[in-house]
Amino acid sequence: MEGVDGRLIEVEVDIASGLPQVSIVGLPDPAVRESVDRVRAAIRNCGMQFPLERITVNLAPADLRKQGTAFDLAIAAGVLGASGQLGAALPERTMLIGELALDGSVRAVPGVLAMAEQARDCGMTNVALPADNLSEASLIGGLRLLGIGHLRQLIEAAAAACSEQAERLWVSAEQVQRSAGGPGMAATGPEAYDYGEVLGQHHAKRALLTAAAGRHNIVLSGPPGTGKTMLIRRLPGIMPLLDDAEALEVTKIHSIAGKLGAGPAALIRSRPFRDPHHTISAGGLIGGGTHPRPGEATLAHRGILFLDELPEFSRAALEALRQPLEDRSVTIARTRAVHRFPAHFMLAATMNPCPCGYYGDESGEWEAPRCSCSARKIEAYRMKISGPLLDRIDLQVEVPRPPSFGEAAAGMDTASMLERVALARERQTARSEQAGTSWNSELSGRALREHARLSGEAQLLLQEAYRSLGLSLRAHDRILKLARTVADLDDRAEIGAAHVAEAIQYRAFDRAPVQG
Amino acid sequence: MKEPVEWSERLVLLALHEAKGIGWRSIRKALASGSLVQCVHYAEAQWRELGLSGAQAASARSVLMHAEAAAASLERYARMGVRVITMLDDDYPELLRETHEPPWVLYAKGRVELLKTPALALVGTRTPSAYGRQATIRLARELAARGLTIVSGLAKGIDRCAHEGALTNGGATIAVLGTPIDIVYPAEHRALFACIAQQGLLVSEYPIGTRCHAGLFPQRNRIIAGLSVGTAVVEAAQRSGSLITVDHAITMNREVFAVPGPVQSRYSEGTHQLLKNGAKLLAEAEDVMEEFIHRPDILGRLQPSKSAPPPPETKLTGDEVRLLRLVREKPGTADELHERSGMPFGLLHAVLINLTIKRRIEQHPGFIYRAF
Repeated sequence: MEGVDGRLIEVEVDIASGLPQVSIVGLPDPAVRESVDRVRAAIRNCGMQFPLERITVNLAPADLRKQGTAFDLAIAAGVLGASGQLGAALPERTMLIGELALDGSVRAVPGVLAMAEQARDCGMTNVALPADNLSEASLIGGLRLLGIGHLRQLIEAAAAACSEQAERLWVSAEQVQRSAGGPGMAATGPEAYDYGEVLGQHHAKRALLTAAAGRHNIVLSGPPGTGKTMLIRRLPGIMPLLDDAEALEVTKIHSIAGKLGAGPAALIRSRPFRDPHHTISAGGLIGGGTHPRPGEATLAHRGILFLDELPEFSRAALEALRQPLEDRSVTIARTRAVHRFPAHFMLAATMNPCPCGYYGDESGEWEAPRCSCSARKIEAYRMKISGPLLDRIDLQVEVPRPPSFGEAAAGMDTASMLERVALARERQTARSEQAGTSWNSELSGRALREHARLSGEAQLLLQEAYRSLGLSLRAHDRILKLARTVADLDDRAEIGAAHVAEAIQYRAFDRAPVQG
Repeated sequence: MKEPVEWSERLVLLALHEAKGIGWRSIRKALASGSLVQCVHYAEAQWRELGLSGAQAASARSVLMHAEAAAASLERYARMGVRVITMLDDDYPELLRETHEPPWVLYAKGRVELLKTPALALVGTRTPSAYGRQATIRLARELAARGLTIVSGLAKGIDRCAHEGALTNGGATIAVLGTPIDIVYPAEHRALFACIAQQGLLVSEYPIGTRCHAGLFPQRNRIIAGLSVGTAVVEAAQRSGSLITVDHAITMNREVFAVPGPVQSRYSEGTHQLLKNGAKLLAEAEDVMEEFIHRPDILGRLQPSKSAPPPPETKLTGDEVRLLRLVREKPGTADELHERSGMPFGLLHAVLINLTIKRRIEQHPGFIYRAF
């Protein structure tokens, strides 16, 4: 595995006379080196002979670091084959995946989906793999699969070789799918949350609708207890399901991270939703480790990365997010290799307006706690989120405390919002050929100017707003993008004054604050 | 070689005022003993005879050894653009001189002539509600337009609003600092500080180099009250520092005004108590004018600003008029206005932005809209 893609590794085994010794070459890491001991025990426990000679195992290409336990099965097959204990050869173009237990049974390994995909792309036709991974691998069509629970089964399969019997052992991916009960369409997850449950907060709901429609990053700012977290948790529900290509990407990532879980696998269709705790390290967020593993940003690929209490995250972690937000992927450089993980996520975050949380909270209740923070403390709190990071968050929305319970209307529910998002998506997709991107949030430069054209009235409003509201200049492009999405939601080609006005309202941090 | 500097009464007063350990009372004792110039020659023993402690006497003796040091201090202030006004000067405000414990020396920066204009103190809590902020800004603006100088303490909250309100249409304002005149406290008021130094007047009793501490702030309240013909309070809790200013005003026999607040608010307790005790209710500038109707000494000196004609009434659309009426009825968030007006969001936002641009409403922290 490299990043989220597989690399085909050839395992060569040579047995020569000499002192009994096994050496593995080709930059194996400890888990691969230990493979020898597992293989030796497994072979013995199957009643076969582990040759007492000089054995050399080469993992090619030899200059690439190998890690993980998925080579066990291939090494065992190699040793058996080289010592003439495998009755006949396995079919041509067969890939072996699997970790061995000491008794010879085969254990599941993570990342099988990516490996199977790589096998297909490299022209392999057969994949022998742990029985527990069978359904996962079957998501890749066009392969003949052999799920094995024990090393002995592999030996049997080899013995059967090209006979009729073998044809029955190997099954096509499509067969596996059929027997599992239909193609992978499950796992959309129960829609537990609905926006209809959120009373009031129409402004915030609309902002989230806009964010979902144009894939804009969003931060909600408001005093504690106003339902910011509740609002964002319902966000996946209004985003369209993953399409086939996206679903495969996402499922691959989760397979590598070992997060698919047991049971019959299916493509993940719902948008991933990751909400790491704010104590997470930079490595945990974007991926890292000696052998880099995907971080939360990658697990949130094609979905939502939710950072609750944004300023509480460490500065290092937040700054590390800048690259994925810009490039839509994470690059982790190590001395021997550079790993790339996809990280095309939508950032949704919440924050309090000040350290104590009550800044600006005086709606209705006179006895509500008052903000006791000095202006300097408030500024320091906001400064935790650096300008470049804030620049990448299109929507900054204030969520005020609702006036009182039971007064507010329910407003939009998830179903109706999802419908509108789908509509806005259609408009964006129709434009994507010309614009070069399928999301409004990624419009830039000329494409932005071309596709986010303002009506005369809107132009005037924007100019006036700049003059009298003290908007910052960097907000200009953001407002255009947002206005484009708002107009898409409205099913309009031209951006009108109302759309621009709404976009301006979503840029809470740009306005010069009213001092108290 | 410089000319030797001669001691003058003024210079002695300044030297003693800036001397370490010498307080307001010690200086009064020196003054009571006769001419200040004589004091220059006092030995420590003579100082002690006046009732000063040993340390104080030593301090007084040492600062009066060299007139050059005192003169150099004066020069330093001049270079910084700070006017030093002592009790002995004609520039010293008469109203303040009448008080019980007037500061011996004032350090001032800005339009010093404001000290001679009729002034009204406008003070209140440091954590105001939006209501308090708006009431203060409006009152300060209107009172300043009638020629009153608005005095306050450059603190957060109401003080700040009072200064800003007075300055909006070119009105006059005096900020009495609880710190030396070269220190901006709180630091976020830097811009306001600079603005007042230009268009208004900064005043402090404390020489540059005085260690700042919380105890200095209540002290300066007597100057706020002392400079003013009356003191008005907006939003003060039961034990607010603003009430100290009011106590000073009462002792000085000056007028006291209080702006009523919502009855549920903790920040109305102080002001409502004042009203019960006979303070004059202040709701609009006219309330202050009425109080001084029989005081030609005050009204006669007022120089109402040649009131700039109100900004030309920009035309409002039907929707804008409707929404403005709703906001005036009761301020609210966009959500509440959406529910109350029934306007679709796009339109609502456009109308809100337009009304903000036309300066009819204002967006406050917490996404609350209020009418001006």
